[in-house]
Amino acid sequence: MARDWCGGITLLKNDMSGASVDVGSSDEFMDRIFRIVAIDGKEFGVLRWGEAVYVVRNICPHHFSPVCRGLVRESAQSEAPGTIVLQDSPIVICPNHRWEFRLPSGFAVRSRHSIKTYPARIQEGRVLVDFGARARQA
Amino acid sequence: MTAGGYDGSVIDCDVHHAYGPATKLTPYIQAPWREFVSASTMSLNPAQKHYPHPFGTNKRIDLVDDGGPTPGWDYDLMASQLLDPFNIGRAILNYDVGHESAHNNHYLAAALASALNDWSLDTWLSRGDDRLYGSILVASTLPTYAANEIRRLGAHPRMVGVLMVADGLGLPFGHPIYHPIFEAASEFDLPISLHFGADLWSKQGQLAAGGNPLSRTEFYTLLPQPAMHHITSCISHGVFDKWPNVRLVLLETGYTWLPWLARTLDLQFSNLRRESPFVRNLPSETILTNVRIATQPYEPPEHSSHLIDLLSALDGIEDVIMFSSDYPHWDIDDADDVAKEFPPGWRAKIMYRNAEQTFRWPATGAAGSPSSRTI
Repeated sequence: MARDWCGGITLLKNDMSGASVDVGSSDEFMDRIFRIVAIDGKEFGVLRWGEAVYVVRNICPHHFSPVCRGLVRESAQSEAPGTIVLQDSPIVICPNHRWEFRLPSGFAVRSRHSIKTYPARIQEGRVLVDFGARARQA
Repeated sequence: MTAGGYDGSVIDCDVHHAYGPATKLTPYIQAPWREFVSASTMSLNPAQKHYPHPFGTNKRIDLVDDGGPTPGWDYDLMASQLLDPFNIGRAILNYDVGHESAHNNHYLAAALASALNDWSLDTWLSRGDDRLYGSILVASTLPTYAANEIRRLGAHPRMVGVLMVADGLGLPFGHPIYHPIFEAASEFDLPISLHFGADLWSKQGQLAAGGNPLSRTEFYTLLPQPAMHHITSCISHGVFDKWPNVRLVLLETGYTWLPWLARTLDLQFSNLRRESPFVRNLPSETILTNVRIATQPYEPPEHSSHLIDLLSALDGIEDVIMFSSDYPHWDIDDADDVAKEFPPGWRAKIMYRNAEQTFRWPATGAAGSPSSRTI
């Protein structure tokens, strides 16, 4: 079975300067596959979704499970029984208890919880993440 | 008589009245079916092919007086045996049990359901006893016919709900094929009571997983099975999301299993939400707002506290349970026996208020002004 994540290969440090952290070439991030990177010993999931890129802390607020090791899918919405509309925005489904979180907001589909998200962008072929002060608290 | 620590008026959600010999019903059957059944020796009520009863009758033995009227067939007897002694302020009459609507000829089934409705209105509900209310019996095998029947009688002030007694198509009730029934019930704000058992007569329906039971012991024990299936189906297919005012009333299925079903549904919906994003609320929440369950057969625990512990696994279940006697059947529960088994704070809800807020009562009733429903 194909996995929706790969990881543990990138070890980086945040210099806490407030500058964006370069987590790698965009070519290294497969479309719709979470890649888990470790920065200062903390795990983050980096997801490229077409031309967009999303970064979240790899911790589910439910039982602190590694949420980024779950399935990544298009968001499923519905306006009427029997209809399901897939939208071009991702959700990640926690592998432990199947809680679903929307990206880029990080909000859970069915609860008030959320996973931590970080601004990220692709610039000149590099994936840049703004951890800022939040990474120190993560 | 006071009902076991509860001395208020009682609403009985499931009382059975019967026409007795077929000739009493024949005048209400529309052509061509009146001629069909008149020329035939077939039974109008396929339940007469039911399992033989070890007591010889499906009536409670102490209600039967040889040579006297048959319990369920006679209004005065019902008043003296049920309505008066147990302070029944409102009784919902559900035929005996309406298995006529489950004939394998679905058109005949629909015609007999209409005949029973007209018979009930003509002989019981128009006699001036404001304690008596009725259900609109429909043949679920022809959903558009059923919807038409609901629309024919849905505005009648003595008809406070819809009654379905069979899953003759072998499809759980959340299937879109049944949606015309829910749409019509929603139009008239009528709850739908499910009283299983007639599934035994159809070629498609099945009362219990694994095949139909062979004895009454198995039959009664396994009645919760279809109830679980149909609730699960209606929630899964968004019936209550499409028609938020539709309520399902489960009759004669017991009720101690409901917390388990609510919790299991919650778990699976959380796991598999992607299958049904149109389902807005957690199933346990939907059960509290849109499902009601009658007490009979009261399931006696070894200790009353065990019953309450079991039920309390679903917070708010005291708003879901409603009293029913099942008069005049062999396993009747008396109101005072049932009331005393519940905590004092639950009794008024279970014996009266929950049913008052579930069925669609006329604007004014003999048992006081109905309060507005909260659903």
